[in-house]
Amino acid sequence: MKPQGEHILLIDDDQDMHEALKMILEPEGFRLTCCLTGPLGLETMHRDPPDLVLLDVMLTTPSEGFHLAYQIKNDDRLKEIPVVMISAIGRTMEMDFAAELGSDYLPVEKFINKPFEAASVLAAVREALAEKDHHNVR
Amino acid sequence: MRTPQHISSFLNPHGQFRAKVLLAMVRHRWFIRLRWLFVFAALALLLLEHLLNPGTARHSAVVICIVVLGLINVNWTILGRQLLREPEGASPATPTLMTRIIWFANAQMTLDILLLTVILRYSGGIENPMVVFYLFHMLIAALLLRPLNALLQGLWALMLFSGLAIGECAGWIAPHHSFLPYFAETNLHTNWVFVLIEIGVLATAVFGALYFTLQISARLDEQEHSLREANRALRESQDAIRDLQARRARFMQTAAHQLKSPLAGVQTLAGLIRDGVVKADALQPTCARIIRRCKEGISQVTELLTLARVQQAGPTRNSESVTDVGEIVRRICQEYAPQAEEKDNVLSCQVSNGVNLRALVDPVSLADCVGNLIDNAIKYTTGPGKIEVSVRRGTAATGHTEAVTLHCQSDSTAPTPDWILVAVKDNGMGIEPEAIGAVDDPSSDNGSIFDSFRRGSYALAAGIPGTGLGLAIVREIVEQANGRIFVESIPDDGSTFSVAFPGLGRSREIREEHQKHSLDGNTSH
Repeated sequence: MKPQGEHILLIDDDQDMHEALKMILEPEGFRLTCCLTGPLGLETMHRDPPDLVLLDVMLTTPSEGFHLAYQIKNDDRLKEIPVVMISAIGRTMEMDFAAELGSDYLPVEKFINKPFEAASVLAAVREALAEKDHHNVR
Repeated sequence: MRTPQHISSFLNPHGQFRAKVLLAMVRHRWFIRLRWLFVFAALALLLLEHLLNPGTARHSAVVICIVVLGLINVNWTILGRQLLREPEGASPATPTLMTRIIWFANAQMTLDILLLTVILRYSGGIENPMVVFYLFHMLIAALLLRPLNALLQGLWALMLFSGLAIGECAGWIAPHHSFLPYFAETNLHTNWVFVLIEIGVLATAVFGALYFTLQISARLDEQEHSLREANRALRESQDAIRDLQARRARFMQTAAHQLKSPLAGVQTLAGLIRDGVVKADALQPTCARIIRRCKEGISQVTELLTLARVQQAGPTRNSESVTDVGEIVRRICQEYAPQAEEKDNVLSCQVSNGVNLRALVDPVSLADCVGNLIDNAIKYTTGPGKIEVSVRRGTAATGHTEAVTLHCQSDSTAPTPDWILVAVKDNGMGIEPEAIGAVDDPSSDNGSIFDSFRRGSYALAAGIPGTGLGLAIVREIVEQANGRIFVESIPDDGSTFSVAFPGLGRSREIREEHQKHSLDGNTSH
C-alpha cells in the first residue's frame, strides 16, 4: 500500500543527504521537510508535528542526535513520533553514547547506516510507520 | 634565610617516616616483645650464673627488678591493646592516636631507663658493662620518638647514671654491689677520676648517638617525602596519560566518522544513480555533489595531516624561529585575494610600518594559522563583504573590549607590550555566543569552535561546507607558540579573530620556560 503523504522530518547537517532522501522518499509519496540543525528540527516538530523523524547522530556535537532523541521521547507532545536514526558510526559507539546519557536503551525505533540504499531507507521508514499505526490501533 | 631541609626536618616535631615506623612498631608490639626477650634472657643468665657458681650471692633486688619489668610489660600489653582497639586505632593514624602512641612509647622508655639504672645499682653500678644498654635505648629513642623527646630521654638516662655514679662514689648510696660477686672488688666506683671519665664518655656517647641517629632519621624522612612527592607526580602523569588516551580515542572516533561522511555520501549518491532513483535532470547536479564530497574528503585528510604536523613539531620549533609576521601575513593575504574576490569580498591587509614585527613563531605554522583565519572569514562572509587583516605590535589585551573571549593563555604572566598581534575582522554571519562561551570548558559536551570537528550552528544552518578542523589547527599553533587567541563576534554583524605571538623581547622568558619544562621532564623521568 502506497503511503498517503505522510510527513517525514529529516534532521541532518549534510545537505547531500537531504537531496538523496528527497530523491528516495518524495517519489514514494512522502512529504519531506529538511533541517540542518537540532534546534531548528525541534522548532519544526513543534510547529508542524511529523509522522516520523529521520535523525542523524552526529550534528553539531558527536552525540547531539541522541540528546535530541531523548528530548523528543521526553516531550509529551512529541514522544509518539517514531525516530529513525541515521548514522555513519557503528552500533557499538552508539551504545557508548547511550551509556553516557545514563540509559541502557536507545530511544529510537530503527537504525539506518550510512551509506544507505533506497530500498533499506524505504523499508525502515515503512516499518517504523507501520509499528506506530499498530501501536495506535491497539 | 631559608632553613636547610635536613635542619627543618630535624626540628620537625615528628617526621612522617618516624611517625609511620613508630605506629608500625606499636602495632606489632615490638617494644613489648623486645622486653620479654630481655626478661627471659636476664632470668636465664641469672640461672646459668647460679648453676655455674652455686655460691653466688646476687642481690635479690636484681631478680625483683626483672620480675617487675615483666609485670610492667603485661601492663603495657593491655594498654597497647586498648589503645589500638579504639575505632581510630585502625589505619590511617589520626593526629590524636599519634599523640597517644607517642606518649605510650615515651612512658615505656622512661620506665625502662629507670629499671635499667636500678638493675645497674644492684649489679655493679658503673662497673657493670650493661651501661651500654643506655645507648641501645638512645638509638631507639632517636629513631622513633620526637627529637625533643629523645633528647629528654637522653638527659633522663644521663641524670640517673650520674646520680648513681656520684652517689656511690660519695658514699651517699650504699652499700655497693659488685658486678660479679665472686670476683675480687675492683672499687673503681670509688675513684672520682674514673667516675667522671665514665660519665663524660657516656654523655658523649648518648648525645653523639642521638645527634647522628636523628640526622639519619631526618634524612630518611626527607627521602620518604621525596618518594611520596614522586609517587604523586607519577600518579598525576598516569592520569594525564589516561586522559590524553581517552581524548585521542574520542578524536580518532570522530575523525573516522568525519572521514566516513563524505565517502558515505559518495556511495549513497552513486548507488542512487546506479539504481535509477536519480532522474535524468538530476543526474548532473548529483554528479557535481559526488565530486564535491570527494574534494571535501581530500580537504579533511589534508587538514588532518596539517594538524598532525603541527602537533608533532612541538613548541621548540617556535621558540627557535624568528619570523617577520608582517611579511608572512602580506603574502597570505595576496594568496587569498582571488578567493575573496570570487565571493565579492574585499580583502585588505594593514601592516604597521617601521615597527619590528618579528615574533617567535614557526613561519610555516604562522602561514597555516593566518590562512585558516582568512579562509574562514571569506567562507562565512556572504559578499559583498569586507575582510580586514591587520598586523601590529602591542599588548595582548590592547584594543579589545569586555566582549573579548580569551581563548588560551599558555602563560599566566601579565601581558607585556611585546606581542605581535594579527587580527582578522569580517562583517559576516558571526558565531553564536554558546560556541565561544564553552571555550574554557573542555569537558563540556557542547565544546567550542576550537575543538576538532566542531562547527558553529549558524554555519551549519547556512549549509556552508567545512571540515571543522581549521580553528583546531589555529589553536594548536597558537598554544605551541605560547600565544593567545581572542574572539569577538556579534551575530549577523561579524567576527574578529585575533592571535598574539610573543615578540622578541619575550624570547628569553619563553626559552627559559622551555628549558624548565625540559628539566622537569628529565627529573620526572
